[in-house]
Amino acid sequence: MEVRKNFVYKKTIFDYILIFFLLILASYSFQLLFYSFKNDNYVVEVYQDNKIVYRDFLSKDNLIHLRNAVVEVKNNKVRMKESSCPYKFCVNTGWIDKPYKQIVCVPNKIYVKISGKTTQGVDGVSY
Amino acid sequence: MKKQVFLFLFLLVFLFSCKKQQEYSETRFLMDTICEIKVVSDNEKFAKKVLDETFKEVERIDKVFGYSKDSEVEKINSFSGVKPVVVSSEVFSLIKKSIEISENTDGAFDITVGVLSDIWGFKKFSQEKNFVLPKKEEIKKALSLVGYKNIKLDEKKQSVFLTKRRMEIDLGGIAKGYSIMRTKEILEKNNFRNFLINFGGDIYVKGKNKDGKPWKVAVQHPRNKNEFLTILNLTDISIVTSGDYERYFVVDGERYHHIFDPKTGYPKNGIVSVTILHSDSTIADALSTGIFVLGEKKVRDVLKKYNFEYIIVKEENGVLKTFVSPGLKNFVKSE
Repeated sequence: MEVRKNFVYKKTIFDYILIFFLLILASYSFQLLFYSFKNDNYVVEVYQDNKIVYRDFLSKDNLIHLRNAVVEVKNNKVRMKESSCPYKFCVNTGWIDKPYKQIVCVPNKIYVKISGKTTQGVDGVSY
Repeated sequence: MKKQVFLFLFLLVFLFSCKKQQEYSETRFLMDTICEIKVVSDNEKFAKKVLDETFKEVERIDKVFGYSKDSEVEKINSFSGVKPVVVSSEVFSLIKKSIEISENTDGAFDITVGVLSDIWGFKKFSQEKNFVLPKKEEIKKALSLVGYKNIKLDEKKQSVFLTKRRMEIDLGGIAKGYSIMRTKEILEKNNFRNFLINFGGDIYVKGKNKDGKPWKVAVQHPRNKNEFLTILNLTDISIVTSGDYERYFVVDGERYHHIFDPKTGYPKNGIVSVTILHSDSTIADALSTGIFVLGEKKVRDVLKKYNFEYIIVKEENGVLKTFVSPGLKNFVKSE
């Protein structure tokens, strides 16, 4: 058996390029993992006057007090609990728990939406 | 050997190093409804910049065609029976298109129903506290002011004249579709090839979603909010639905909604929902109202003028019946 002694390894340009590409591959894998976790949970977003006033997981129970209205998040659902608007369409919408459903209160300029991956993969609803 | 390994890894990383296409969306409250735009892009900063620019245009259109005193439409209405009003080419074109659609739907779509919207309480729907049925005499009086043939256009002066005093035009049945087309133009101008525009349930889709598949658009069931009539696979097309379930009030157990028959002055009964698929949202928007009034028996007359697909839902004795165009099956999602 021949034993190589005093073997000296010299790095070449290919080694550095190889390391560089491996780092890119590692970074891509990390991003993939990060986004897959990020999209797992539904998120409630509440807007008033076109500004976001609340954003948190749908799984987190909460009561959000807005100008002239109250939004309730409970048991993975959200609803307009109270509103000062005259006809209460927003309140009558009831609980929503899917990304393609929304609650709108026109007089108080409030809308509530759920972000996240939809079941049935629906991108939008025509109504 | 090292060179082969390097080459293999280079190819592997090259394949996966492209930036992942993400979906970026923004939602705003405009035109009295929720307006959402989704774009597929690998550049978040650019996508958000263009979305912001696009919404500024939608705000502008809302002001031009809306109900505020400054809008050109309200100016036309305020001078009804008095004098022609010179308007922008944008407003003139949309009114001209509306008249053309009125002619092609035998008056079923008619922008002069504004006075009916007013007396039935739908003009400022969100602020109404008590909906009261208008009296028969009120409806008869209002009907005398309805009729697209009483709109006089002067192409040379670019003016609009409502010939009868207190006539009103209401572009609510077509302006949303128009704003979708303008939004589409801006997105295309900025090289977006895959997007979804959803303004209050009026939708236009282009290209594919972020998974590289046609956009999946559901059609709302008119009587059950938790159900869909169907789910369609769509690309490069507009889908607009008019229904009796979005803006209505109930008096003595009877539903009164916002889509009027221009011939009777009353909300059109029988039809509960109409969905139109057409390449142009402006036309789809107007046709969804026109076909709602015409019904399933006369839809073929309109098909001779425009190439579209439809879903019509009718209610008879509490039972829903659905009528669909033959070509619609090409868009139905396969399970």
